[in-house]
Amino acid sequence: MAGSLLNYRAKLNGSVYSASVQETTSNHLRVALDGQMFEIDLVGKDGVLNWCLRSGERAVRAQTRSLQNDIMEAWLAGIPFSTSVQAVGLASYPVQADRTVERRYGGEIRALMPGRVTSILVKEADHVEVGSPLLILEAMKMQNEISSPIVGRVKSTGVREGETVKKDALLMEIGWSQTVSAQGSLRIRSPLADRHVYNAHPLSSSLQLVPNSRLCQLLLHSL
Amino acid sequence: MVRYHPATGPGIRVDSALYSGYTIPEFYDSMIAKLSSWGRNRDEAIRRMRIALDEMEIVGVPSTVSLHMAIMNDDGFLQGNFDTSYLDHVLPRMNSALLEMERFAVAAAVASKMALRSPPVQSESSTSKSSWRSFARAKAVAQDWRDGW
Repeated sequence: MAGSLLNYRAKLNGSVYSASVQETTSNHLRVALDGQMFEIDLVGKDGVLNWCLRSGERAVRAQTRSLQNDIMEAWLAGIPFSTSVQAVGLASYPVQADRTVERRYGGEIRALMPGRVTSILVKEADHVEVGSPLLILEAMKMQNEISSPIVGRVKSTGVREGETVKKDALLMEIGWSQTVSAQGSLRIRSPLADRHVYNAHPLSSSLQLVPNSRLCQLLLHSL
Repeated sequence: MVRYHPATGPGIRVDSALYSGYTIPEFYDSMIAKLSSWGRNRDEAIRRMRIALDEMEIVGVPSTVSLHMAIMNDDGFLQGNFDTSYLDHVLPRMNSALLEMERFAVAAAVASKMALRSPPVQSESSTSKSSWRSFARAKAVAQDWRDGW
């Protein structure tokens, strides 16, 4: 089942970050940091917490320890980073009032490995946010909750419960609203996020849409 | 030294007197550990060095691990183009790497906050085997196997 989801505000070297953290298992977390996704494994506890973080193609190790007053010290490759972290409540991601959060809209959810769809957690026309659980894909004897890396409405589910799927099979299509479809073909391919790989192509790179641009705000309202 | 766990593995050697909880005396020069890698050729040595740098866990005292990582991935160094002014060229390029690391650091900090919010799920003695390290090690050993080690 989906673990708890919490939002945090973090500050490091004068920059402020909004983060949404999902605890999928006791030793695995998924962090959305201003639109960038991190898959994070807790690989050891020995005075300090020992982490392995992955984002896109990059994998990085870190050790962290708690200092006084919300300060969390992270050590990466011999460098200490003192980050102040504060919880900002239980609101669902993304924090509505925070326009710095980059949201990615629409796309296809595909299976990254062969498996069996054990349950589908959304139905057509459901609105999904980043991190919303979509379906459970059983692969390698593991129940993997597939959550949405994108924002939109469930356009179609390409699979039925109990169905066996091949790698790259289309599991679900998350669509834009009608307003958006009228703009032309804006579908993007966005491989699904699971705990092994996350690799979503930001729409902004292909459309040159700035997250907070006027068009983007319009789209936001139209959803 | 809050936490010290040196790299090990084929062709890797670390000379140091460090251990977790050690206090580094202030009377000597700044070298606290010497990491050497050996390979049958330069590429292999560099590849092993990258893995070893990844494996070094040093918490409590800032060190030059990240600089060496940058050098091990620097085209100039890989092609053998370096002289006494080399660092002047490399250091400015460290900035973008640092910015990327900052994001990872924030993600780690936030994850820690979340993890520490709930009671520990593992026993205190748990220093569970690092899957990351196993992976890196397996990669190194597999490469040696392919190379007919």
